[in-house]
Amino acid sequence: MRAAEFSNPQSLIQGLSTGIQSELDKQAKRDERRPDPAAGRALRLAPRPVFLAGREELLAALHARLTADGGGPRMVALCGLGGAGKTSVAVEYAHRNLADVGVCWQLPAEDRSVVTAGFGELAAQLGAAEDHGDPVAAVHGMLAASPAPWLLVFDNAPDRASVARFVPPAGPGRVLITSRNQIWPPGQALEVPVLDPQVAAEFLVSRTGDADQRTALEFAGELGGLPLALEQAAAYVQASGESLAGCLTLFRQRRADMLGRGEPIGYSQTVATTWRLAFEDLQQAAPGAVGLLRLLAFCAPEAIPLRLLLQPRLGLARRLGKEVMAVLAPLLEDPLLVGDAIGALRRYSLVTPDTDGSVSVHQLVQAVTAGQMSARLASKWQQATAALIEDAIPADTTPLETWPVCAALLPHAQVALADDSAGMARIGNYLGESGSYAAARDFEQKALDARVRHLGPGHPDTLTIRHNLAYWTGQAGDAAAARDLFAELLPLREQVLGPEHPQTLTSRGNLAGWTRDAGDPAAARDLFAELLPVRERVSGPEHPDTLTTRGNLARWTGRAHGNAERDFK
Amino acid sequence: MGWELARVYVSSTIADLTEERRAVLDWLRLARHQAVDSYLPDSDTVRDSCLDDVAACDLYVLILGHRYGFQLPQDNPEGLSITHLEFRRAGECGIPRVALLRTSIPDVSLSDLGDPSGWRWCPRSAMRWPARCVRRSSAIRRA
Repeated sequence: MRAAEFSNPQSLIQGLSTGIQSELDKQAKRDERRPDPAAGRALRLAPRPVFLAGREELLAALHARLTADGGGPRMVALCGLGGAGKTSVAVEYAHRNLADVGVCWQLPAEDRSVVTAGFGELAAQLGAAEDHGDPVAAVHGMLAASPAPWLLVFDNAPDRASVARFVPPAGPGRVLITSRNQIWPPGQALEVPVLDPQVAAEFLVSRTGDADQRTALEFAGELGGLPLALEQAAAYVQASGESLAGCLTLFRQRRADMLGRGEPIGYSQTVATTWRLAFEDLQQAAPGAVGLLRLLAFCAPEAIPLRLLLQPRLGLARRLGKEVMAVLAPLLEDPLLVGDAIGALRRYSLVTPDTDGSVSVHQLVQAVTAGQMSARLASKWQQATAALIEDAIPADTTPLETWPVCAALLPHAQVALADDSAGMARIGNYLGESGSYAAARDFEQKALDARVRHLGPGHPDTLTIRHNLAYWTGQAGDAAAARDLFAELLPLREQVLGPEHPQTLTSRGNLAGWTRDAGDPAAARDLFAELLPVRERVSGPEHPDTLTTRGNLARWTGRAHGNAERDFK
Repeated sequence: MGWELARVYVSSTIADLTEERRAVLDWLRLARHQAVDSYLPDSDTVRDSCLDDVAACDLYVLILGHRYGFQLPQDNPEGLSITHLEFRRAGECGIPRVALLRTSIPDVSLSDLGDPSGWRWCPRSAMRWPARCVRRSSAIRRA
């Protein structure tokens, strides 16, 4: 008997899982010594996955496809990111359907010679003559003539071509392929997606025994619903005795390190190892793809508009240096190379194409990609990403036709650009001009905080942002706050820029305008009246700004007195 | 082959281990074992069905808190609780047993002592568990 003590739900689950696993292992060893009741049946299959959450719909869709009417074997390629649980789904499917098939054989398909050897074993198991020659042809012949249904699983195939000659052409069979490669003929691919956040959170709670639902949901979000990462985190919680909340804090602090820790059940490798091998392959075969992935690692994960970012840019080489430009420059110059790089990344499901030439990258792929570079190199790629995004933002974001571009770049600018950068100022302007006043105000507030930190409160650039913040605060509906902000700003601008500097006068005009909007037309009238002679002297009596001030004075004089507007001609 | 990995009998007292039972059953379901739940002990026939269920399982899990459990008044010369009888049956059938022993301080209000439901506290009975199960019996003594 196996006994364990517990004092909380976590240690209870830890004792339970360890105890159950240990007893099942003992049982399995005893079973190995007994005669195999399935002897004579061709069966080679990994054990059923211990944990499998949220896959019932996918398994049903898979079953529907593999049992659809039609001549010859049915074939489905389960494709998805490394760690999405493709093999778990395939093995689970096979176990669920074992009773329906006479032959069930799982073949590691990464390497053709290994597949061929697997066919040799299967041929022997099926009773083929020893001098049958080609084991692949022998197995194909026997499966074609088989009266009983059969199921072959090609696990982790690099692509379609690598398994094409091994797929039986005839017989009452089902062929299930797992692959990171997304590129399959129409109708053959079935994507294994990441888990829904709620399902992923429930998995974390049940698997660890830690009932902290809120943290579980947050953690599931941080892990992007990736089954391998979820299992790895749960295994780490169990092994370390850490709570979910503690593990989440650690994860946020040391993301890349944590992705290499923990011993996930049902997977042979951690997230970091799984993807590192893909990166190493790509480094050899497609260095441009690695460069593109590094660029994408510093964008937001969803809908990265490659067509906007990857354009020839003047002066970029000077800003970014040779190391990055050697890889990046060809991608900026030649769209065909971009297509090749995306194709190479799709072979490992490291990117997913969206519409309009944009792509998405799983957030953990981004984290691992960034974590596998030296700090110096990561900083260079981060700069490159920021430079491309900033250059792609239109110089003037007021015209309506620039707004779709700004909208596409917005999430990436937020991730990659400094809050007080010129690019972010243009994005902030786009938000305000397009009607998102509150968002524009919040943008300016962040920019102001950053600008004060970098340049100090009295720098002219800081004052520009204060002006914008006051303006969008008013537009967002708080005229009194806008008035107060302009009242605080005006003496600073007078002191720093001078009392008759055009920007100072603009702030004066705004102070008058927001004073009126805050409900004091008489005070507004007086402020416009003081401003008008200064405008006439500085800008000239017929300058548009002067005429605007005159118009405002006339308007608010009329409102202040409740009379007809005076003629100021 | 069935859909579950193993048929696992979960044995425990109920009132003091509600959360623990739920957590164990949830975990077993997540791990796709077939969890077999014990019943509320309210009759002799339930005892027999519980013991039959134990015998039909691949694994037996005991969660031990601070209660000994309901002791049937009839046909029970040793005065063992149903939970204890289940534990014994699993051993007799050669079913692998996993025991999970709570070490935290129990809620005294839930102890068998003075329980109006008629459950009887039997401190010495606790010592009837195999030694490995009760090496931390302080919780029971405190009750």
